[in-house]
Amino acid sequence: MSDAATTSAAVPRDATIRAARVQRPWLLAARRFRRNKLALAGLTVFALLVLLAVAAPLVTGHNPNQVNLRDRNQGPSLEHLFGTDRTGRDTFARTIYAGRVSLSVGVVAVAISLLIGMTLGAVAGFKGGLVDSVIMRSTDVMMTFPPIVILLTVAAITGPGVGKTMVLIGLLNWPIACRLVRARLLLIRSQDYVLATIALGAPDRRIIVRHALPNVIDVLVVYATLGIATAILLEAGLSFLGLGVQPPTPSWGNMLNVARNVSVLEGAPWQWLPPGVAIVLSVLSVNFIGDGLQEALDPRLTS
Amino acid sequence: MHRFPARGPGAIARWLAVFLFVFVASVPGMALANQATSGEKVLTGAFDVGPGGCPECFNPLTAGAGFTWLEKYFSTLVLYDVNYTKLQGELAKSWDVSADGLTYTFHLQPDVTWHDGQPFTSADVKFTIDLAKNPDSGSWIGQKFTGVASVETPDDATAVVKLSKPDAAMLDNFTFLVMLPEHALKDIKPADLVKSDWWHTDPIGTGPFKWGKYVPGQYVELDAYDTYWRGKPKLDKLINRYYPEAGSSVIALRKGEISFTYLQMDEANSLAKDANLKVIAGPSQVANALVFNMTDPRFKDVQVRQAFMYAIDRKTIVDQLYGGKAQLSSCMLTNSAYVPKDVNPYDYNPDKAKELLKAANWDSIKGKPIEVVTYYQDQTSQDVLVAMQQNLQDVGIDITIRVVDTPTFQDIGAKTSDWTMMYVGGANGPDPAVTGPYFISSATPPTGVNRGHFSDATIDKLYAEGQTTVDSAKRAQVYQQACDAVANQLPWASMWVAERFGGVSTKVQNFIWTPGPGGGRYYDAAQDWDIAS
Amino acid sequence: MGQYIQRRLLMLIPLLLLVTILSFMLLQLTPGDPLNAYVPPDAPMSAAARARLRHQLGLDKPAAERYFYWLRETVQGNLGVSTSTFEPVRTVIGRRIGPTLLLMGTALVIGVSLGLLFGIVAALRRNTWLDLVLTSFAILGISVPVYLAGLIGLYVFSLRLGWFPTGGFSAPDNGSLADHIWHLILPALIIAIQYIASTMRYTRGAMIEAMTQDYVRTARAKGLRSTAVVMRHALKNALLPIVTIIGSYVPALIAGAVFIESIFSWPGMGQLFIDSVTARDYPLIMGLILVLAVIILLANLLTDVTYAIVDPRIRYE
Repeated sequence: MSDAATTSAAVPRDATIRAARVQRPWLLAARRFRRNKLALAGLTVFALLVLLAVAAPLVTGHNPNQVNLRDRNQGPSLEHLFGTDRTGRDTFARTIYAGRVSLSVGVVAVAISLLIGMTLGAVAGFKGGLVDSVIMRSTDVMMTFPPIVILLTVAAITGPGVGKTMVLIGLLNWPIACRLVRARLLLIRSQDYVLATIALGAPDRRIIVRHALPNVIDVLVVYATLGIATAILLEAGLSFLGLGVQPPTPSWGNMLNVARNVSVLEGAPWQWLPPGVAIVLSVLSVNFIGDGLQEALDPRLTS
Repeated sequence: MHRFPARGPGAIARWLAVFLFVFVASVPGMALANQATSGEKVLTGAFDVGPGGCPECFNPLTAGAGFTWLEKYFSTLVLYDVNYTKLQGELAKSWDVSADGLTYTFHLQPDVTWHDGQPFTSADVKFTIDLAKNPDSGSWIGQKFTGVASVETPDDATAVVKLSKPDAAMLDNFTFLVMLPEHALKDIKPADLVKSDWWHTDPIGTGPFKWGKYVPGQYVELDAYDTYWRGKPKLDKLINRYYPEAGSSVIALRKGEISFTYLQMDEANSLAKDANLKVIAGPSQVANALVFNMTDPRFKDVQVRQAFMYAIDRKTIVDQLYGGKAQLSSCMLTNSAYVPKDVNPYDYNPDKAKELLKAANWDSIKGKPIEVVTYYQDQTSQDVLVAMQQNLQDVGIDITIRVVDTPTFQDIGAKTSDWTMMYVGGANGPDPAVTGPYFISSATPPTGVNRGHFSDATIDKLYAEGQTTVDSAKRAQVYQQACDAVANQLPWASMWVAERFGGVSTKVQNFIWTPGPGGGRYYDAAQDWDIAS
Repeated sequence: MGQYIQRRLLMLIPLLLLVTILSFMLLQLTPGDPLNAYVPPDAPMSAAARARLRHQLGLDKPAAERYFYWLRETVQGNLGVSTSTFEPVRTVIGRRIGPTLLLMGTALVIGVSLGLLFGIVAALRRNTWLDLVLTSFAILGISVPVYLAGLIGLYVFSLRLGWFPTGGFSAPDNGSLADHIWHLILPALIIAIQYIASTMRYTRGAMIEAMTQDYVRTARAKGLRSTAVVMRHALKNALLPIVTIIGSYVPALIAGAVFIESIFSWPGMGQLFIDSVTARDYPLIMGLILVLAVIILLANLLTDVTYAIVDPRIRYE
């Protein structure tokens, strides 16, 4: 056990926090974020995707659910930018309308799992003892069910739907956030300055806010970015099993499903590439944003 | 101080490079190792992919489908011909039906032996029918033989089946029932037979191929039965590989790993250009329909039900989504013998639909959007439902779509209060009697699949008459009247009978396959199947 | 530590009991009836035959009784009898568990080893083109749905390039080791992509963080070779979060297996699970959940233990 190393790591961190409080840390972070080109690019792409989804009716004149059988399987053209799907619906319109569903599934699900995971993880990491045991064992129970098992079962009971998909994915993913937070807190709790703070009788809330949270944000940011990706991908997976968003409402997941048909996979790429690229782009941009945030929030990385 | 083994990333990278090199270099070697070297003629196919298949269903009494494969090593008394229209003998060389329709005398094919060499006799016929009828056997096919009063065996080559009341569909019923060996099974109690592993360890049948090897989750291998009564099969082995993802079997077919699989329509269209493959098409013998829950007051008025028929542009759906490869039907039946020429074709007419809805006061009764439940999870069916949704919306009927898996569907269907409308498929032949349990009032669940509790005295009477009329011309007339009644009353809004497709390698010779509900039940001369080397 | 492991193993028992009770209750709520696996949707089955079959399957007993029956069978190691094949669940799972563990294990080993390597390299060569290439690969790897990767992989590498077979555990009548490996590579690589990607991201992040720690800088300033510094100081600290992440891969690996096993006709538990749900084969579903639960719990335990070994500052008392 190398005490020297731990202590030397701890002192400047505490100093940074104190210094940052004076200089308004969030402004500093924002400045650092703005210097990160990839993160800015990510933010731009993600904002664009959100904007397209929100302003979908202004971007395209096509109704995403308007069936026109005589116009089916058309390749890309000026009229239909991304061509038409198997029932003659405009793929471009469906892709951007699908963004509404897929993006909100991602964001809401992560928000739910973060909220639960962070709270329980912080309590477990700081309280330790019985509370820790109980929380960790419930994450064990939760993580013991492969998500597909619960999703398959619950979707069968309640029937599939957008809202249910969000809540379900959120409820399934919190144990990861919880364990991450706890792991980091265990580390922090064993550091001498925190032990000293505890010994001095500082209230838990103060320790959590002052010392714990600033130290877990970087882990959580990485988790959240990946979490949004996971949620978007899980929605796609549900569609693969026929339990995702139901027709005719488009989501990137259920649009991508046509790729299962080999003749569509090779013969009509315009039907599955746009939602596929949309998934990749959204996940990609969210990840760049996450990286940027991580570096911006943790100044040690910028040196 | 805890130390880590002092190996730098350089060492790891070197190690990894070696690993990757070995890995990549060994692949072609493995590919070569995989080449089959034996001179045997082996036909590998995916016989249980698609709606007629039932992967790893080996008990022919309980299997709901998969008869194409089961009939490679088991055989029935009678079968349909390859066009799926006329019955012909299989293990029964010929048969007589008494004038009152109560006695069926089967004259059995001589020289038929079970795969263990024992002769096939009328005792086996009696044993099999009795077994199927026994509720302990867990057989849904047994339901078809409840009208059998007794089976007599005057000699080894004759089986006499006596019915308690005439059943014109009895011969059709026999196409479902594969013969089972009494000598091998008589000591197993029927209740234990359901659980027995005999079905997948050492089953013996009378088909051209005999049980070889079963590798769970992967494939079943059959070997030629040298003393098959029609002669030794040309193939040495027949292998049935399992593909949980249907698309993977298409890739395997195109790559030449297998020689046959079921195809979806899009795939059939794109594979038609492949010189190494032949696409086989045939009617599915399954009619699709929207089922009305008659306990819902909105569907009481026949004008509403008719409006559904006029509102849906069935012709365009068939032309576009089925590539023209489906036959419209107004009464579930498509066999021209049973469909009167002047039956209402319900040509697309949205204005008429709107008129009918107006007359039925639809706007004031329509209530919440109608949820249509279906167990069809394939892409084409989803496209069809979306197209219907648009058509119906155009005349003022709002539907939502709910796709569920089959067990959930069965559960929903069992409780009348749990659903409003369904989109289903029902076998529509070869015998017209199969459509009876969809509409007749005595066939509400669980005895039939009249889940919507439709009840109409005329339709009940006509189907009962069809069941007991043995003279085929008279019987056809009865079913024509039934068809007309169904088309007018619309217990089910009957849509179409689509074609289904298979793809087979051009290397395979004399191959016969046609789709059918549950697969099989027709003569495919599997002993003549061959493969060019 | 030994005591700690012993205590954790003991705690598995109530945990598993809880898991079985929860999943049994969940299954009771699931619509669908195992009997329906025997009857096509458009064909009738007589009420008598249904009742008889129901009795034979033991479905006519109250739920609690069925659970305790199942529990007794399970404690004895039988896991009950499958309602769709009538084989003992132990037998059914027994022949599927090997292929699944092989597939998941191979994918995990490939994923973690390549991920660690790429992560270290990317961290050491931060902000160079190599870092960019590896990072882009990682992000692409995480962002492509595993089943799409599977479909495209199958299409490209099996059909178009012809490098790999289209699926299965082996070719019929070819049980050679080379044949098995040949069938394993493509599905394992496709599952691994995701883990290469996420391991790499975490490794890179953690390494960069660790490398900026003062003691590492100090060590560097003292003139120690930079690779030695990385391995001795930075990697050690970086491993801590990575260990947690690897532990959490296991449930996701199972999900990956569900998709990839279907696409590649791999006769494993993932495929079996979909089949068992479709057939509403409750004893089989319960058996699978239990086996998967044991795998996941052991993985968690292993994570925590490794955790304590890697970082002695974590004290388990």
